[in-house]
Amino acid sequence: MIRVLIVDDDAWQADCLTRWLSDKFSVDLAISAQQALDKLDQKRFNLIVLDLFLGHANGVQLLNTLASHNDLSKIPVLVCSNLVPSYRIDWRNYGVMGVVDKTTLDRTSFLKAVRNATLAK
Amino acid sequence: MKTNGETVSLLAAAAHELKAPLVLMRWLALSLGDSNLNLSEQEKQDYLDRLATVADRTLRLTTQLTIGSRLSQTNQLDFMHTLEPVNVNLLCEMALHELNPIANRQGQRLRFIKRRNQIALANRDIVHDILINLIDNALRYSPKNSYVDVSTQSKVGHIRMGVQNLGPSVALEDLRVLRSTIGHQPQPISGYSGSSGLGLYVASQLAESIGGNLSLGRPKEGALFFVDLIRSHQLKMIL
Repeated sequence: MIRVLIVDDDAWQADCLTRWLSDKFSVDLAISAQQALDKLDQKRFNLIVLDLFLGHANGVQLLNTLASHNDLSKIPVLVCSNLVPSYRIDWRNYGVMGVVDKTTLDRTSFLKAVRNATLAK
Repeated sequence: MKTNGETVSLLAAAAHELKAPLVLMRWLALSLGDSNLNLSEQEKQDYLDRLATVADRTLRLTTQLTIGSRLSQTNQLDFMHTLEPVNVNLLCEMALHELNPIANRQGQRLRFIKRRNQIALANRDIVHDILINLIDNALRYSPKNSYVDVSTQSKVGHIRMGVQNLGPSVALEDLRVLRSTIGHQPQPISGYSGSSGLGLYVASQLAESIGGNLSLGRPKEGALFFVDLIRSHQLKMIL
């Protein structure tokens, strides 16, 4: 089964996303950048779903960290944030395979984005 | 009166703070209406409870915005005319009673560290709004199974109300910036993701409107906010 790591410090939002995926994917949750790195050390994941606004180290800092490790840089990332339109950044430089806006996201579009991101790399 | 820059900053902070709860409410509603998800009865109840909690919080936020905009339009003296002796302990108990259901829903506890009756020269409604603001913020950023402590104490010339939570500590750099900006514009705090600092900004403005001020402490764990109010001497002999 495809393993997805959701990185989001909003527990209830993360729980919704987990529930949307849980029928078809194996899902794990990290509430901070550091916790995400710890989980990535322990398990192999096929996709990271990443919120940008995290406590302390933010999502972009985590992307930089992932890019600097050979093994972690190979894991595709799907950015999922409600601040996406405000960020003018070339996501491909960070290994990001897709970007979704939380404000317009629903279960169908989220599943589609997850599948596409997993296949893209 | 606010400058244009302060107004824009306040609007941006308000928009940011409203987005996250609205996103969550939308997702919860979509999930509850999605028969393909096969939610259990317990899951449905949890989602309904969360909808209620998030809606309550969003409504309080809009109340803060209304108060904030009202403050920008009125002269501070309008509030000074309505100052009266108020029992701060009683107002703390009322605020805790009001927010206890939310704390329970989130698996948290509210504690009141009460000292002898503290009488301040203030406006009852404004003190209530400040307390609701600070305690609600503390609940939002506290981990489950933790405490939020509310306290009152007597200082020379003023009464101090404190709200402490065991969430992320405020970094020293943030503390310095916050202490200098808190009355002027919303300032996000790193580690408090999703917050634009709007709640603190409004609480600070409210405190100033009644001759008080909002400050930040730096406890070993979590965050501590305290509000100093003018002490009332009128009832000293009775109490």
